[in-house]
Amino acid sequence: MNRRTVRVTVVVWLKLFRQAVARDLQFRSQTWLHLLAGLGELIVGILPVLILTGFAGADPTVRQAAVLAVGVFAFTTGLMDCFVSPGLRRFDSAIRKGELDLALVRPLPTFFYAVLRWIQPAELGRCVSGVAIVVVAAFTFDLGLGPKALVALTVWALAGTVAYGAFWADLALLAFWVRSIEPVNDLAAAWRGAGQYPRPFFPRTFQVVLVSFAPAALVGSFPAEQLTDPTAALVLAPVVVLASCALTTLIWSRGLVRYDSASS
Amino acid sequence: MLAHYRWWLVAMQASVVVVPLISLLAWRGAMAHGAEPPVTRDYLTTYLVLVSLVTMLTSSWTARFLAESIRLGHLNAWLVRPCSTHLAAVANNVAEKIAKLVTLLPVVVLLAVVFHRDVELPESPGRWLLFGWTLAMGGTMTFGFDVVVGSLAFWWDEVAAVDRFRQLAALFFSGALIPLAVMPHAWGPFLQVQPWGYAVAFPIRTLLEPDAATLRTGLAVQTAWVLLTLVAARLVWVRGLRRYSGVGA
Repeated sequence: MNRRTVRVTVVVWLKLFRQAVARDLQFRSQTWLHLLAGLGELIVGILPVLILTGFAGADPTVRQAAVLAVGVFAFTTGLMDCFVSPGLRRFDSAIRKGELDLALVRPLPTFFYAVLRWIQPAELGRCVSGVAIVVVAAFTFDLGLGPKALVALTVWALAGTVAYGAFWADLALLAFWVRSIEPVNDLAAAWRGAGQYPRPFFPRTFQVVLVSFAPAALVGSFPAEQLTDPTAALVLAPVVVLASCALTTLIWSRGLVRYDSASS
Repeated sequence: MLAHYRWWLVAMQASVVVVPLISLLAWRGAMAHGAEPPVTRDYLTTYLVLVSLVTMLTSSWTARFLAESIRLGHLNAWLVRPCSTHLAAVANNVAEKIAKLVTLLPVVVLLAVVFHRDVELPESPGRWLLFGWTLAMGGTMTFGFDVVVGSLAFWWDEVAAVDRFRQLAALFFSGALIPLAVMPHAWGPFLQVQPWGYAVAFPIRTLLEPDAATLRTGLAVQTAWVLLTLVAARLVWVRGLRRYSGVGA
């Protein structure tokens, strides 16, 4: 991708974002409902975790880890549901109906136009809730966070968002091979729920899965762990991002070769 | 058509199983780390193994389609037929459950085999009959709710938001995420009278409760909710039909 394409892509993305915000401002009641529903989904997701950790006995670190994980999870899933998952949820339909043709003929990266052009700014409300949960938890548990911990949290939360977005895309891209795979989006959304629970609760093998090829822990519990104990080398974060994006690129290019468009 | 879109069915059922599976692993892990919930490990494991199956069998997704047919005037085609307008929705729900059962049951059996040491199911046929009865009642109640929500389209253009909030409440209070038995004690009175628990948690309770006599109150409340939702559905539907004005109606 040359410099001009990058510039055009950024300009188009900014215009798409502005258009999405304008749409949300125009259909205000719908936006409010989405905001409320997003908040409701957040609460429904949080309550089981808090109820579970409420029984965790005398160990206060478990509750602390759970609350932080829930906060980080709200932030990362808010980002994902604003910028990535709306497009991925439409991808199966785009393949089946041949709408991908419209993305292929544009002078822009096809993946960008096919997947990342759908934006739902109202979902960013969850990011605000997530940040609020982390800040309140940090004061309540008197964590005394240093800059190193904050940098580790931010870097791993963003890396986790990209890695899980790429994993979700890998699943959605199965639409190139399998007819009507739309519910795979619900599967990806359900699986990421594992990221809300403290990692040590899961069996060892499952923990490995959660930080590797189905990285749900990277959108919640793992970055939260880095806030209290920033031990994971930050240099690993770009490696995780590059590896997950490389796999998605490979699947995308293979899938595109198979694509029988509506007009070709 | 479902056979044609078989991967749709597989992916859908996988997504249904994943949430209770994660919950099951997390709860068992927490108990291994010293957590002491008010239920036994066997109760929790059996409950979470069965919950996806029960959720699927008592679910209904008529509201969205009913609202659409009211909004777009497609209802006309059903109103002129010499049978209930909801017959197709009932048939659709039953047929869909049979198809889903084919893919979901093996997964649930597999889970039961993996956790067989902690899965305790009753041997008495009476309990299984009771389970079947409460499942049918739970499914009927959910369908009644669906008709009520879908029929709101007679008055409102868009009922998707109402449906989304209803599903959110149902997801949590039905016990589809965690058993109602582990929810805070203070919520007890509310949980006993709210309807959603009688669609998922109560049918499972009929298999897990040691003493069947304790289920009598639950059976009465479930029956009351089923009757209430059916009456409400009938009332809203009849009132709504009077307002309906589709092309040709």
